[in-house]
Amino acid sequence: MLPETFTPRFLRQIEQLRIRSRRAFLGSRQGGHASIRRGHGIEFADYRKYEQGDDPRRIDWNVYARSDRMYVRRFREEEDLSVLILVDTSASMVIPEEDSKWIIARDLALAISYVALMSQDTVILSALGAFHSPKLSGARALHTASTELMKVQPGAEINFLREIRLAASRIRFPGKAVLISDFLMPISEIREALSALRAKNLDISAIQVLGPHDVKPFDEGAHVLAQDSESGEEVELVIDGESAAEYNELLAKHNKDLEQACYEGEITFSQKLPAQPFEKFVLGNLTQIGLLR
Amino acid sequence: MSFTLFGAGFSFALPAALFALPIGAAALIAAYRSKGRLSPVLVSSTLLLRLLESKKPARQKFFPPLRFFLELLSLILLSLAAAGIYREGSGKRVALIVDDSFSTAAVNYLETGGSKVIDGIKLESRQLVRSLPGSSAIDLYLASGGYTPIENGISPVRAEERVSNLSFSYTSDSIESLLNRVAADPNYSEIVVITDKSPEISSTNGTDSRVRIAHRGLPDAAKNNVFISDLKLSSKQIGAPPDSILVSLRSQSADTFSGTLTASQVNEKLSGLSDKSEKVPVQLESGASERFSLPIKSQSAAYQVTLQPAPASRDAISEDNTAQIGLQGGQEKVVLVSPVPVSKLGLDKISVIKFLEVHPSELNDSIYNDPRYANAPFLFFATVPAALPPSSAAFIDPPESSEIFTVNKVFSGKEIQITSWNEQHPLTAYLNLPALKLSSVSPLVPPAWAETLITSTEGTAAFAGEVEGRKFAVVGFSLFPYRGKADPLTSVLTLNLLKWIAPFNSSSGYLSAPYQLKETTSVEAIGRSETFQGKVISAPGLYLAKGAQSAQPLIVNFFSDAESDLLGAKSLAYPPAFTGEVVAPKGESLTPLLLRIALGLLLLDLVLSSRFIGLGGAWKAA
Repeated sequence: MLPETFTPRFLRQIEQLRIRSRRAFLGSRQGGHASIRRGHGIEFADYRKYEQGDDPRRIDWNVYARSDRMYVRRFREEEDLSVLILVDTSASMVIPEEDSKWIIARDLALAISYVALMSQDTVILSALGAFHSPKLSGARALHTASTELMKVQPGAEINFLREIRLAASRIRFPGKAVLISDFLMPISEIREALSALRAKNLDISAIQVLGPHDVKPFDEGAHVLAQDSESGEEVELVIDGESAAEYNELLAKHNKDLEQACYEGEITFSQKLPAQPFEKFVLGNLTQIGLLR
Repeated sequence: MSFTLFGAGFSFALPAALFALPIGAAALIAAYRSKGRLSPVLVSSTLLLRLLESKKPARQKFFPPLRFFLELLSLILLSLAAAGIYREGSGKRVALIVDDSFSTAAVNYLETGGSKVIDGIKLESRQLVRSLPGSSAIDLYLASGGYTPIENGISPVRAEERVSNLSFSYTSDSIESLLNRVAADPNYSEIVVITDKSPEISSTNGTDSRVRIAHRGLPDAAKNNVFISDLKLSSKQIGAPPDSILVSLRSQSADTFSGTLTASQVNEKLSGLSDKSEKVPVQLESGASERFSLPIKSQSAAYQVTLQPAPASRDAISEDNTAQIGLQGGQEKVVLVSPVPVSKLGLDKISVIKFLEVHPSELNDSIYNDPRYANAPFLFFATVPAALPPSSAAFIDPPESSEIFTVNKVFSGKEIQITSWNEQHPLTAYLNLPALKLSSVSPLVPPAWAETLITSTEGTAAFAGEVEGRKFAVVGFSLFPYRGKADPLTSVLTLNLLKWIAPFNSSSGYLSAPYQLKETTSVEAIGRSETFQGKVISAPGLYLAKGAQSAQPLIVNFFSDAESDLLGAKSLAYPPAFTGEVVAPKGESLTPLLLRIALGLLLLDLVLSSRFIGLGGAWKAA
């Protein structure tokens, strides 16, 4: 059962989408993506004589009309794409609960999974530190994906880098990787995680999910003792106008560093901000960065 | 564990209790450090907040509010108190025994404007306590205070204050037994006695080395004293009002004493003394005791006698030259039911009884409810009521027509003789009744509740008994007119009868100082202004005790030959050597003081913590 976010209208819209990969990968089965192998596909390569069993739709009738011989078009071989979707399940994704970051990240993972499965790609779901699914394929696998993701109780203490490496180590065939997290961790740690994925020759997309309290943790004038949801570190602050502005600068810099790290790693990056509607982000932003087409 | 501070040594009875101090202090500091902290708020990440904080100035150092220091100081004081801190050093336990007995009222008449012995004793006491170390703990005993010290463990300053207010007391001293008792206490490092008694002139070897006897008495030449040793009222006739005061004087003087005795009497209103009456010159040889008679001109409830020495006579103590006397108990009421007035019966000569006269024709049951006659016994002469009265009664010479007991016909004659009498009964004991000459007698038949008292040749002449707690006596012959000494047998019998039915005190008397008042009464001094504290009359004199319904004079004297006899006073012996181990002085405990201060600080802390005073003091971080 899909979350409520997946309205029928939304589903119809994302059914039109495909996962876009910037590189061709050796797939395991026929899929919708260009393969390095020649065979049945949609990108014309040349003609060959019709053989019994060929799809009659591939018969080039213009050639038949000219030559009175049946030839079929030969296309670049189309194989399935392996899509690894990694979702951050650390405590920062559920604190504060009202930000619903985990729900957004989960729904993003499901949406991308839906797109991939509907276009006959293989999906491997990895809720970091929670579960690592087998290869999922076919529309029916979406139910499995949804069920497993819905069961996840994020908030456990996880080692982000280690979980990324663990997830990457399970990949047999390189393909697409989508990493969904708030990325509120040191840039060095993010770089290491991305490097671990890059080492697997994956086409990586990073989606940062930020909640309202990540953008504006406290109201101006607040005197607070903030405690990190993962490390327990405490920081006491008095938030005045100046410190609020400084925080915005720090956040912008962090995100910029994140973006730079992605750029350097040829990783497409997108940022899901609180104000952005979910559907619009999926249909718009993810398409813009080239994750979906 | 001990230490020295400002030259004074301090030590602890329970040093282990001091561990509470660092533990408590640490807890207090931790409490205040965390006091101002906020409750933590969970955020997804402090990655950026940490960076933000690092840009801010450093946190303020721990600067606690005033309350912290109050609580810390209280903790220190309480820890010290719990550890039993005390001041060491030369703080010793001293027993100071001050003689304030009556003999210290003596004045040195050899000196012009001589002061009393007690003043010298006070001076000596003050000088002594000043010489003691400030840490000394003094137990102050007085001769008048018995074996219990009037002050315990006081400082020399307080002791000096206390002895400065001393005055002589109307008590006999037991200084020697008090000294022996105190000397048995091993806690005393030093025992000082300041007395007008001379210490025994003997070697102090073998005596308690802690004891020092300071003698502040009079020289022997100044010890002449003549005093009133006793007083008594006297009357020439038995039962008659007193007509003189017998004054016993004693001379403890080396010289012949001359002086004058005078008597004053309390006025009818009991508000003061009337002018002095007749003066009687007196003279006593050296060491003599003699009784003098001082005539009384008019009757009074009480009298005061004063001995005034002649100018040439020397008398060290003036306070024993005055004494008081009076009739104790006052007058009893007896209702006389008689056809003959009391004066004709001669009963008015009995001054201790007031007879309320009722004629037989007025006798009815309502008489017994008359408040004037409430609880008073009845004396019926030649008449008998229809029933036994509700209070005790005597019936003298009842008529033949009596209804409540049988009275036979009167028998008259010269041959009537008393044949027997009850020698055990208080009415007839010790009387030589056969000597009673009766001219007539009404033989009686004693009822079942009575016993025969007197039997005559004609039959029972008197009987008595009790009915439901009431005493009744019946005499079948007349005892009147009462003639006192002129007819002693019938007079005594009459008095015995009256005393049996209406107990009264016909003898003179006084109370001795100090006198403990028995009930809540208002007491005033007659003829002088004097305030009372407590319920003890400590000085002799004439007083008026005001009860709920009546006022009664209280006559208080102090007679003590031992105290007035200055020349004959015994020496004071040193107690034997103390064989036990004198307890080393523990020093002055500071615990009570520290507890009081700590309590004061905590109260102040409580006030400061009140929300109405905004000095609670949360501390702030950056």
